[in-house]
Amino acid sequence: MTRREPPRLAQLLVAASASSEYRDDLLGDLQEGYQKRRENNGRPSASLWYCWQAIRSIPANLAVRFSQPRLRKERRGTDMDTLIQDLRYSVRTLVKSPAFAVIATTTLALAIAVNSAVFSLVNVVVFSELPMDDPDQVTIFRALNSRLGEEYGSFTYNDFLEFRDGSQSFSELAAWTGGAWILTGGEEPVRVDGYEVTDNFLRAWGLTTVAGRGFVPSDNQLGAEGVVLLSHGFWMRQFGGRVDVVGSTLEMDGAPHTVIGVLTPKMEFANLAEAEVWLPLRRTRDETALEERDVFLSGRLREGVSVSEAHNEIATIAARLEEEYPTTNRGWESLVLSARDSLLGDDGRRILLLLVIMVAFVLLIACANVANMLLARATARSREIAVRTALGARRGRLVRQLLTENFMIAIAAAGIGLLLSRGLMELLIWITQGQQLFFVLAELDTTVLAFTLLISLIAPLAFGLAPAIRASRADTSGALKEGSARAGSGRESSRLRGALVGAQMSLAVMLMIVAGLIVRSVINEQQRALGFNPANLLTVELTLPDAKYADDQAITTFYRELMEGASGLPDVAGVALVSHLPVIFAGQNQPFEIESQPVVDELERPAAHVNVASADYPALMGIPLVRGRGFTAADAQESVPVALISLEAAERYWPEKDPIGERIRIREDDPWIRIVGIVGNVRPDDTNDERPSPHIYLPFQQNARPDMYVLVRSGGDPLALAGAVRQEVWAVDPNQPIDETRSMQQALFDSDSTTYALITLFIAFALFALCMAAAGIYGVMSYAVSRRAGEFGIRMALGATTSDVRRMVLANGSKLIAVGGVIGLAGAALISRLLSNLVFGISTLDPLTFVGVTILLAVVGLFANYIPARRATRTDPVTALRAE
Amino acid sequence: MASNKSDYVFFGELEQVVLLALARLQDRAYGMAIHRDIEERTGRDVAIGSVYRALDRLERKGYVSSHLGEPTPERGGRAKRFYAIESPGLSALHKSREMFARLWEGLRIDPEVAG
Repeated sequence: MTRREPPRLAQLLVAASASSEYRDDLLGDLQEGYQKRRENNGRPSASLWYCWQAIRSIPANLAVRFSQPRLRKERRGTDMDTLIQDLRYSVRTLVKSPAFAVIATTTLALAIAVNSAVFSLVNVVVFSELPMDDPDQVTIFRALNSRLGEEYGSFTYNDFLEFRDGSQSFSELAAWTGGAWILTGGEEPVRVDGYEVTDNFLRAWGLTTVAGRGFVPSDNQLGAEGVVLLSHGFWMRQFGGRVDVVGSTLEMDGAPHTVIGVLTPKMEFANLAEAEVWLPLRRTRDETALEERDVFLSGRLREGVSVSEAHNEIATIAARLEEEYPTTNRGWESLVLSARDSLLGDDGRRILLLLVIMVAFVLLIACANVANMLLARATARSREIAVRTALGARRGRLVRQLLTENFMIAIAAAGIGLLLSRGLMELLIWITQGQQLFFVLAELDTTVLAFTLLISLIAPLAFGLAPAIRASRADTSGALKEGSARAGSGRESSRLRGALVGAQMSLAVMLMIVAGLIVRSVINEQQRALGFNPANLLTVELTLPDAKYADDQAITTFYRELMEGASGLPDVAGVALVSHLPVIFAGQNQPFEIESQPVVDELERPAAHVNVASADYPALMGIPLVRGRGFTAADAQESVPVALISLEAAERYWPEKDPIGERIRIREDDPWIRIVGIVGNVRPDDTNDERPSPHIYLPFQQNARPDMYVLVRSGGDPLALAGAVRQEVWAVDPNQPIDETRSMQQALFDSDSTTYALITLFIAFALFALCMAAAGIYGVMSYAVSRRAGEFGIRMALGATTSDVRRMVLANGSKLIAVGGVIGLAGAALISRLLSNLVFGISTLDPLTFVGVTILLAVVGLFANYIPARRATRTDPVTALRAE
Repeated sequence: MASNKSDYVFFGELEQVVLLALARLQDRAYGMAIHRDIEERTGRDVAIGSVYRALDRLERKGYVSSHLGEPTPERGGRAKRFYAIESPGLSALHKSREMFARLWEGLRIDPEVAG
């Protein structure tokens, strides 16, 4: 091969004499001229010309070089040029090594995707726009009852009145409660959901109406004219945003309600987003004020009052209320939180923190992997870099060029990552069926974009700076002399790569252990006996409007007719009613009294989930009758009140006695209820309960309530019956809206969907980490093997067996795996503490998970290590030595 | 272009030559192309360094501007730096030509003698 390069000495002459500004231009021009002359006149003439040019240019070059430094206006333009040049060059180098470009970009894109996805969740909690005006002044109340396991409780109306009148901390203290109404007058009856609020609610939150007026105190008077505020979304959907709707009348629950205004769209936030209408809360301080804990409270702090001061004041009042109203308030504490803090419970916060740590690990692992690839590449490129250094490239310039390449990878990865993260969020929303508001709320906003941009700018520094600096330090003469791809990589470099792989390994161990603990917990949860047969079961949720179904008679008649109608449908094996779906929501844990066991301490009272069910409910569900009898038609309204209890209730509260025949009472003024039978347990709705929860079933005939689930057992696909059952509902009452209709299996899935979404995330992280760690080990070991090919060749020539060589390589790799693994295990033991409330049926240091993950990673790691080890033994000594 | 005498500019011969080469080459004007153009028209193989010194001076005067182009393989992967005349450079050329025209006005010099 003829030498294409111009004489090197002459090149150096030009490079040395020229000012840095024109060095590249001069060398380029001269080389171009050289090429042309070489083609036309031959090499000697071209070389001669080149040398002559180089010498003659020296005076001019030096003149330029030592002339007054130019204060170029276009200086910035030149920087830009450099950048463009770097970008062009980067594109070319990356295109030239597509495998590297693709793998590096994909690795980072995946990591960036999960990071932006999780950040968009964090974003909802930490940075989201709260609906309130200066939200730091707004507090949300939460009622806690440790005995009942209640952490998100609401308050009695009486509590609200006591807090409002007894506290000094709030300028406004507002109460609200959920409600649903039936809107008639349209084509078909529609159920509208919303809230009943005190008149100061909007003031407390600093919100306004976009049309009309808000509530005034007179709206809250009992017997006042019906008024309603529309949510912005409902107004747009239902009335096309027409302003003349204000002042018109809507028929809700059969009564006229005047539309007085439309709320600001800000209100469509979190659970409030579902509200369509807002009505005044009309209650008085009577007996009923104590009955139900059904109001939510929120207060605007007075100027200069802190959240903790307000909390202390409310806690004092709450303690007094416990004394004054023991039946309703004993055991209930009150917590006052800032609006932002109340967005997410402690468990949610912990999960989020865990997710953030996990995705940070994923990003680190990805960066470590790309860094490793870059180190390998830097070694391969050492010759290119040495030449550029020889031609006068400054080190800063080289680092800058190499970093530009990294940034290009990172920016491309960020773009792909954003798309992927959208896909991931869509997947989570799909898994959770849109039930989990956080996933729905997690939108791609500017904050998320900024975050993604930020990590894509930081990541290249994290993974690229060290390799770039190392590469730029390449020993010029050595690299040029050797001219081999192996030049310029020393012990230091391989140690760095080893450290990176060790770090990857330990991060992977941590990720996999966390994922393993969560998966194990979910499996444990799922393995708890359901206690009933969910197959082929249709659930139809109905809420009869109070206005129309004022008395028990009307309610029982409606449901009786509906059940008769539905039973007659083809393919229906049975129909039953129940107030709460098991597992999904077992109903409030209510304290009750046992006649034969007078309670000394209120806190010692037994408690159970009270469900109302029709007589055939246990049989239809397949819940076995353990002892006694079930409900019969004889348990009518006028007969002796009866109840069934679950086995767990029997064992827990009547440990040494037969509960059948015993009498209990749920409210002090109610008559005693006789226990007539014991039925099997159902799985509790709380995912943290290992024991089944105690249940009390009351017969629907004696305890009619307007909101019930109609359960229909079918011979085949239960959803095929949905249409027919709905028709039956309308056959009884054409104005009755139907709430959710779904199969029991779907309901079960929905209730766990958030868990499934989380599991999906954690498993994805863990798999990613595993693949990356394996790839890292493989990369480092095969590189080490290729570098030491000569050594292995010699060893084998001198009599080392293949297994000796293999053992040597494996031992090296195992060291990395072992060190990384041990660090990872220690880290996992620390992190898994965050899981203490999430693990189920295992400890956070579950030995099976820790040992299992260790073994799995060791096997994968050793396998990744084994392939290069085997390659080492295939080294032909002669070839290896020749290559040296 | 109206001008009075004080507007006359003096600039180096090579600078003028380079500027004229730029005008001729239009958007193809980079170091080697300029060098080749000068060589073809004047028969002189000027030092490329001198061409750059001229370009450097012209650029400082604001007569020309430069930008980087595509790197090419025959240049060892280096980019070409393209030059373009700016309007001050153009007007300077015109003025210089006018000045020489005035200087030559009415003169009769035998080319043989001048040779």
